[in-house]
Amino acid sequence: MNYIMGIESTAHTFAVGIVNENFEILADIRYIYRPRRSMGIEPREAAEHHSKIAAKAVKEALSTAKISLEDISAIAYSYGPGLGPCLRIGATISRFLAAYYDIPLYPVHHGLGHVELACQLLGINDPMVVLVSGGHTAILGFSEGRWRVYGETLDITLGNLLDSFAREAGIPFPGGPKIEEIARKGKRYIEMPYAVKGNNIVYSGLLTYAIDMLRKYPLEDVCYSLQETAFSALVEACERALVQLKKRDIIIAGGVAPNNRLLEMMKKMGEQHMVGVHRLESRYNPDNGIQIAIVGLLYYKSGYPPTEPSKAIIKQRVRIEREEVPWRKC
Amino acid sequence: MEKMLEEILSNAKFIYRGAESDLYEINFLGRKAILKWRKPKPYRIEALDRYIRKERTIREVTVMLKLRRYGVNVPRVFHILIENNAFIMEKLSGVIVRDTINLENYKWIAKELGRIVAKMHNLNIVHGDLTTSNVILSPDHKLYLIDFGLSAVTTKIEEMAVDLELLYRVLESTHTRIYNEFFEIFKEIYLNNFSYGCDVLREFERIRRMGRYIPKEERVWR
Repeated sequence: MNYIMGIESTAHTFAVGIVNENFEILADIRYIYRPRRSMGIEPREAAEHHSKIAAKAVKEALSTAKISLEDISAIAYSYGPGLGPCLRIGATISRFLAAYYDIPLYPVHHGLGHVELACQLLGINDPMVVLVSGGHTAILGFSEGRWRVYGETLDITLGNLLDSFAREAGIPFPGGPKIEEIARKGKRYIEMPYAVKGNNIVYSGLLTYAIDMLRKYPLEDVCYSLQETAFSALVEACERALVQLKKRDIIIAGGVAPNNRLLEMMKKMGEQHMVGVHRLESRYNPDNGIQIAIVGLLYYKSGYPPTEPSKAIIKQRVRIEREEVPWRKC
Repeated sequence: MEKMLEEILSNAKFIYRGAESDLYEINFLGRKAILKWRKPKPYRIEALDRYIRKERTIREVTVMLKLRRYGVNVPRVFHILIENNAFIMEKLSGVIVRDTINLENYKWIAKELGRIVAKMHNLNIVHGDLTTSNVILSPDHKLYLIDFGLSAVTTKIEEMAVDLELLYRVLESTHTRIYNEFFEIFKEIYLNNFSYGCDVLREFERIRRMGRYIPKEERVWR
């Protein structure tokens, strides 16, 4: 039996996941760095946190999966996009393990992990993926050998928008779920800037405006209006992309995916086009090691050449279109 | 007013569901015509939905009338049902450029489209959704622009550049073989016909590098 270990460390989560060759999940260990109350991630502090628990996480993953390092057939790590100091921890550990135990090594694009994990666990082969997280807000579809971006945010991401707003409003980290909860009590819609440009969306104006409104209106109404405006714009962009792409399924993936209002809106849109809308169980939406391990396994199975530890670098900025996807036919 | 739409729809033939609206073929005073109806979107809350639909319908009709007056080929508007966020326009025969573009005709299409877009921008109008699916090649060999739902009247160079950016992206992803040469020809004609063309193209180069996770050497901000 082949086992693949995936190491994730793009932002606040250091995670180690182990899967076997039948895509069964054997271990899913996560340690999440918590910023001080109402503050954002401080990259250096997060990296320090990761470096302290890294060895422990790897050991725990191995003992949960009841295997030893000698049984691992390949190691995958997230090489980007993400915060430099954090990425470096995951990459260093992976390079060390790969070199010392002579295990093939695969650098994996973090976003590709979210996408392929969702496709695998939901058993959907050719969906339109709406990747919404702190690092991505993109509408993706597979075409001609790559995951192509059919629409995306032109400035900040949806996760960014919610987190930054939460910070300004004094809502503790992570802000998304709290905003959803507060928004449920909101009644009155405050008109806010709604910007859709073709299939793309723009959020920074909305952020500034929503923060301004905090002084004039109750928090519930601002949260409610912010969510409605931001999600409506995203769903509209998705609808446009969907009509273009003509896919049969939509998957919502990434850290903002657990938001039920977003799912509800996307489902209503999907119904009109007779398209199914899906998302993973909540625990697989935030960053995790399994998503990296799954992509590692896909590379491994398709016979893709592994990377030399000396050449296994990190990249803070890398677009998903640049990633080769050898296991998919066009 | 409500009644009028119902009456029209009872004799209408549904032909297409777009992202924003439904299209029906109808008979309007003895002519074949298209009814474009922005239906309510169930996913949006009512206040936001009402506002967006109304605004876009009015803007679309206004822009089409203006373009028509200045000789840009767009469908004629016959009637507007303002209460229902719907309007009636001429039915064009012809084919969508996305489906008909090939190695023989793409040079001509690029030239013609460059001329049309330059003229439109000269009138301070941006299309907002300038893709090859929104251009029609008519039987008498003319290009028509359609779908002005996201259009705007503006003098902003940036918004004009967004038009070009969208066109470029669509060419790049759906007409992979010819996009480079197509865009070069388009650019040349566009520059010759629009005095601010240079500025728009400079801005175009800038916003093309605005997506996320562009490598350091190529990016414009942060």
